[in-house]
Amino acid sequence: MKRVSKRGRQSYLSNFIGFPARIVILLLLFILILFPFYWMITNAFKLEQDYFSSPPVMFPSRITGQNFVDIVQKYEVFKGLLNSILIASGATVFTVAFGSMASYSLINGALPRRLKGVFGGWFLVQKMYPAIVVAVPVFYIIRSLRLMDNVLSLIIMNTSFNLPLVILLMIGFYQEAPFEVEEQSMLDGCTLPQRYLYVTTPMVKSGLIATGMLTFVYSWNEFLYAVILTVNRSKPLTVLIAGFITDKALIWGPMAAMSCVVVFPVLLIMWLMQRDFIGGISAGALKG
Amino acid sequence: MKKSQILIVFVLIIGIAAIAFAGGEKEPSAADAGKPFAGQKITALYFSATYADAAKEYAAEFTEKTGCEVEIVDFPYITLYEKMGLALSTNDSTYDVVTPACQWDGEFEPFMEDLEPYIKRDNFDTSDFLPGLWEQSGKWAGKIMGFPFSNTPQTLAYRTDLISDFPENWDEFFEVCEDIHDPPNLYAIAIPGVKEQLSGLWMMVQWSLGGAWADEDWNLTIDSAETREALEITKRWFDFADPAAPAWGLPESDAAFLNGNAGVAFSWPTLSIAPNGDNPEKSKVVNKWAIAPIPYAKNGVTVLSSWDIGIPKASKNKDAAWEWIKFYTAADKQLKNFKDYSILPSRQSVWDMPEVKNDKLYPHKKASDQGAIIWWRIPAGTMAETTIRDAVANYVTGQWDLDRSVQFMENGLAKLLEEYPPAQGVKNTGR
Amino acid sequence: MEDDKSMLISRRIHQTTSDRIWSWAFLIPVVVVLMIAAFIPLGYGLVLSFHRYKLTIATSRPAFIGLQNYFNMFRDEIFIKSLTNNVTFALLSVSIELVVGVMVAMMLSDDNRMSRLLTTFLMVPMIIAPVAAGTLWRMMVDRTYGVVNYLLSFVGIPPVSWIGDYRIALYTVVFVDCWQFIPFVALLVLSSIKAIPQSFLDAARVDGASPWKVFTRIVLPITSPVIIIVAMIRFIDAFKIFDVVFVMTQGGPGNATEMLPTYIYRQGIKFLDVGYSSATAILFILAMSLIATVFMRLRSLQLRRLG
Repeated sequence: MKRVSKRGRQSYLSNFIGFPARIVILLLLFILILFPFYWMITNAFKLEQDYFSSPPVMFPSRITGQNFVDIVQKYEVFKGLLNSILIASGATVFTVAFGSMASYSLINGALPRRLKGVFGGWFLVQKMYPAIVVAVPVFYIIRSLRLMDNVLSLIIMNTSFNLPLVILLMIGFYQEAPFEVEEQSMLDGCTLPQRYLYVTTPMVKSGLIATGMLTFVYSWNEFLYAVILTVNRSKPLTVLIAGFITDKALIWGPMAAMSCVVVFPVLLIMWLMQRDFIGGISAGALKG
Repeated sequence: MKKSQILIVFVLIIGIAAIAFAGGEKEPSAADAGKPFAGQKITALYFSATYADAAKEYAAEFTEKTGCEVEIVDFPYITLYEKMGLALSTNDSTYDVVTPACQWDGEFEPFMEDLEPYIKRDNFDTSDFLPGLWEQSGKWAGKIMGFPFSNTPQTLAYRTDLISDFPENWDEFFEVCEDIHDPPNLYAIAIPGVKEQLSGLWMMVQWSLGGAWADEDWNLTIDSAETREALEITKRWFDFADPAAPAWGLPESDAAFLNGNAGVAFSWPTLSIAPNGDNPEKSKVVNKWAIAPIPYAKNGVTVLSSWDIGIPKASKNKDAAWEWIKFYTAADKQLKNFKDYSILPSRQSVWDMPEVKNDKLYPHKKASDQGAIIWWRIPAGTMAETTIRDAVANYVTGQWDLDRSVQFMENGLAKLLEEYPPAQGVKNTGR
Repeated sequence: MEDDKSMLISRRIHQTTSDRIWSWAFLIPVVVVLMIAAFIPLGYGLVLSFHRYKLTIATSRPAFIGLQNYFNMFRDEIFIKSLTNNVTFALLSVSIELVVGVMVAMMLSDDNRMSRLLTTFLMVPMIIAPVAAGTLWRMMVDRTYGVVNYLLSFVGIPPVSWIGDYRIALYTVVFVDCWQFIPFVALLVLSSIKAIPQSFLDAARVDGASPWKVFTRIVLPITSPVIIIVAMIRFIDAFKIFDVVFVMTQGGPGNATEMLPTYIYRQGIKFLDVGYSSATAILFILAMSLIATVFMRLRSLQLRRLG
């Protein structure tokens, strides 16, 4: 079946294994993606008897908002939310700021040529190991800096986790940005910081947004170090969710409710900024 | 531009709401001024679940009495050891009170304060604590590092409408299972098959048959007929259980029992079955269940889960912490713990009270008297338990055969004893 | 390569001293953060890996034992098992993610509304926290109470113990990983496909090539550099999997889903045996660096071929 659209891509390519197969596969994908969310949301509203019933209740006839009340009163969801927001935003701000500064400097700055390669390699190493590897040394360091149970420690850690990718991607963006404008401002006598702030960085705005969102999502979802470095006050949402897996009971209701709280802010942000995000990521991937 | 505006407004709302609800530090009020520990704050580390809940409930009362703030921190069992171990071994002063599980005593003892001077100073009467229990939980190598405050031998729950006389040994046990097993409506046994629970279940069978991991002087006796028989028994249980059981944790298997789908539940009944068993909203087996010690076999010895409460050496508020300990382990609190949270008492006087004697949970005392012990309490203990755990799980799920499992246990334990030998003169108080 | 060099040279024509100072200054924040959070800990870990040191044994000082930790590793049955599990997991999940991801990318490469809508939805599994995904799927695949078996029963499939059966558990973990990351692959490959000039594709079509031929002869080769990068990223990330396993199976049943990160966690955090866990970690880094180098070589080769 050949359909030709008046503008843009022709869909003969997207039907490359046939139109029926395409519909089936995409439909399956759609269901597989959305069903777990449906399940999560309904579980958040089910009565306690209903989530352990056999057969499982697909379309709950009776619902309750009790789980959400519980997570506010008993399980400190607002504390978790505040911590998650602080950690994710803090990490995003630092990562994007420091990362773009460093990439800018590497591309448009007065540095030895080799440095870019060195940094690239350095950062690649950073991606190589699972975070668990440095957990104990990090624990010591954070403790001696008196930052235990403080969101700042997680902001630092998450910044370090995301810097490699952000720098790698931003290098691509800065390379793309036309140099003539910058050159002109150099001749006009602008210093490097001025050029960075007022000239070049505005040109790579979509890159900043894309990398910022990646960092935000990653930090929002981070679990391992959140568990290791927090005690009580600074627990973010991911730690609170895991806390439901106790030996006393599997408290599915509040766990599902809290999962909703973890997922929806990020979904919202993604939905609002998706065009910038996808644009940014594609550009980055092609350059990387 | 409009999208970002929505976003900013949204974030502001969340931020404000969060700050409003998050709550700040409570200002010390004028009324607290005259109290002995006014203005101080202690942090206590508990295991998530009933013990922490009880502590949280009493925190306000303690502050009333002493003017000292209490913050209760809790973690699930799977991460509690790490948290406690990391804090203690690095001389972290975050916690003023910690509640080690008795199997961690030997490991944490060097980091814990000796309570003897405090007991002497206040003439605190400790004769009420069950002596056998204290030896297993709270006392180590001659030092008093904590008071036991709960005393839970592993027992099981069973359906009184299906089983009239609980069997005395494992052979009879399986006969009963054959009788009542009726899938898919009723499985004879509800088991938490996950690794961390399964190992404990195996252990209690091995001990009840008279087996042991090592003798008093740490000579290994793990390669024995009892070990093998215990492994086979453990594996056989799954023939009578829901096919999903190997992935079940305590919550799922307890839920199965409360739903009426099982005749016997291997569990820690005090956690969920006892508190919910007679509540019609949560249980379908109201008034149809009871607790029994595990089949006696050779000696009726079962696993002990006991928690002691003590003070880390690195704490900065030791006196206040000591007050909390006396407060929390007092007889009236233990009675309340029993009635409200199904936490078994560690004081003889509380066990003797009529409300306790006549309660459904009383058979735990019988199990305790028969003998409830814990495995190795030395630093290598946790790793040893993991070795056992892997071997049992792999055997039961059919990934390893009997010989390989036993061999693994033997090699693993031998290596641990070699790399992390027990301190000089320390005897094996467990099995 | 040529372009890079000449570009960098031309950008240096107008350098001033102020520029030079500022350039180095701009690097400082990054260096500081990475020093604290990454390089000093790594260095410390490297040193520790040559010692035997269990944190909670108060009297022990780290004892230098050279390469002993590394040798012990290969005699440790559970380590070997976690290694084989992890490799199997990586190979399986990366292959599936690549094949399905590319296929999905192709299917969404046109410009009609349905494709664009679906592309948006595709992002969703990627952004859900792995912890939440793990607990969610654990709820759903429970043999008796789970909704997956319930739905499958309508098509006549008997109940399966997805995480309780040691033969299946690993594949379940693979499935959850694919569920989360096929979208990642698809999105990246999709943007690469969209960058192909329409003229190439039109020319081929005019020549009478079938869609399949266009796919294999034009699309695949042109997008291969991106595909290789994506494959490398997913492969390396497959060895960092932790959250999902921790929450769904804890490495069980038995050790059927034990992976390297959960194993390292067990040794390092659970047992506080920092020497041994550091050694495992260092080995891990070396292996990953090797693999990354291989992938990068492959990619350069491919780029050269495409000219």
